[in-house]
Amino acid sequence: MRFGARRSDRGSTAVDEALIKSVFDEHGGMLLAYATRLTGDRAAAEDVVQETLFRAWKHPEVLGNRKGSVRGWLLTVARNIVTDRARARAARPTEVAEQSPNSANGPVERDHADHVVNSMVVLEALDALSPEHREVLVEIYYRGRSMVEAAQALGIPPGTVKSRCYYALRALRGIVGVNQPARTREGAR
Amino acid sequence: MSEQEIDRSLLGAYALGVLDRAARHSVESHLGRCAGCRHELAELTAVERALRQVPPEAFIEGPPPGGDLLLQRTLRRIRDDRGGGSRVGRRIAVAAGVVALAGALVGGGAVVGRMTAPQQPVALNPPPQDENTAQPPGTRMLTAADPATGAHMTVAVAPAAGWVRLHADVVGVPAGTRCRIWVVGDDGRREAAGSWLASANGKAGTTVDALALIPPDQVAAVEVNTTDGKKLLVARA
Repeated sequence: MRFGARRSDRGSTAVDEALIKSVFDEHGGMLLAYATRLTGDRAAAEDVVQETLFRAWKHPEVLGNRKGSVRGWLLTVARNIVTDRARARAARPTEVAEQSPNSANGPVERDHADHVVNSMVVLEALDALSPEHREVLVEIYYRGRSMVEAAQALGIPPGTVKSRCYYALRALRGIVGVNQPARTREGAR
Repeated sequence: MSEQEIDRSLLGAYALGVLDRAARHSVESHLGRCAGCRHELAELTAVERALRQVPPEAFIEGPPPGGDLLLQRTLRRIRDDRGGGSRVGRRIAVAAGVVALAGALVGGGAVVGRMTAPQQPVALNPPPQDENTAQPPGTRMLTAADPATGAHMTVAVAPAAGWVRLHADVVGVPAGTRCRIWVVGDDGRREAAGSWLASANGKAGTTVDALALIPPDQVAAVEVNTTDGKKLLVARA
C-alpha cells in the first residue's frame, strides 16, 4: 500500500470521468433542453445527451476548443443523433409519431433545428460579445421578450435595451462576413 | 439625413422585429429616403438571419436539473466501453506508471485499498470484475469545482472501521501550488489527510490517496487548501 500524493497521467479513468462530468456540469442543461425540444420526450432526450457525451469522450480534442465551439459541436452532434434516430424509426413503418406536439419545450417558436451546423461561428461570436450586449440579445431574441419586458428583466431603461440591440448586432457583423468599416458610426448614438 | 433623421439604433430593434407598429412605420418611411440606413439595415438583417442558426437552448448554462442519474448512466457507459473487450486498451496503457483504477468511478465508488507501487502497471491493472461488487459498499463520490479558476476535484470517500480512505483526482490547480487535503467532520473537526505539490501539467491533475480518522458517517466535506490555508476546493458530502 502506498498512500499520499501521486501524479496522474492523462487518460486515467478518474481524469476522464472528471472531464465528462465537467462537460455535463457546464453544458448538460443546454443539451438536455435542446434534445427534449427536438424529440419531445424526456427519456429519448436523455439517451441523446448520453450518446452526445459519449462521443465527446471519444473526441477529447474537441473539448479543448473555445467554449462557443464546444457548445456548437455538442449541439450539432445532438441534432445529428436525433436526426439519425428519427430516420431509423421512419424506416420501421409500424412505429408512430416520433415527435409529440409539445409546444412548451422551447422558449420561442422559431425553429432553429435545421441550422445548427454553422452555429459554432455564431456561438463563438456571441461568446465574445460584452455581457451587456449578450444579455440583451438573449432576452429579446432568444427568449422572445419585448423591449419593455427585457428592460424590466435586466433593470435597465427600454432605450438602453434598444441601443444595446443595435450595438450588439453591429458587433456581430463579422459572423456574416460583412466586415464593413465603422463608417456609419457617426450617425449612431 | 437632416430633418428626416431617425435614431439609428432603432434599426437594430427593427431588424430583430421587436419594434411596435408606430416605430416600425417611422423607420420604414425613413428607409425610403436614406440609402445609408438601408445599407446598414441590410447588414443587421443578415446578422439576424445568422443568429437563427443558434437554438435558444445554447444560452442555458450549467447541468440539467435532476440530471444526476443521467450523469451516472453516462459515466457507466464510458466505463463499460473502456472496460469491454479492450480492457488493457489504449487509455489504460497510457495510464502506465499510475495504478490504473479501472474501477474507481464516479457513482460506483472507488477501488481504494488497491494502491500499490506504481512501477508495475500491467500486473496491477485491476482484473475484470463486476463493478457492483468492486467498490467498498458505502463509498461516496463527492465533487467540487471552482468556476473562477477551472480547478475541480472528484473524490471517493470509502468507509473503513471508524475512519475513511480518500481517492481524489484534483485537476486544474496552478503548477507548483502546495496543496493539502482535509477531511472535515460534521462537528467541524478537521483532519489533514495528505499534502503535495500541484503537477506541472494542471490538466492532467494529481491523484491523491489519503486517510483520515473521521468516521464515515460524520464526513461533512473534503477540502483542498494551499498549505498556507487558502481555500482551493470544497467538496461537500
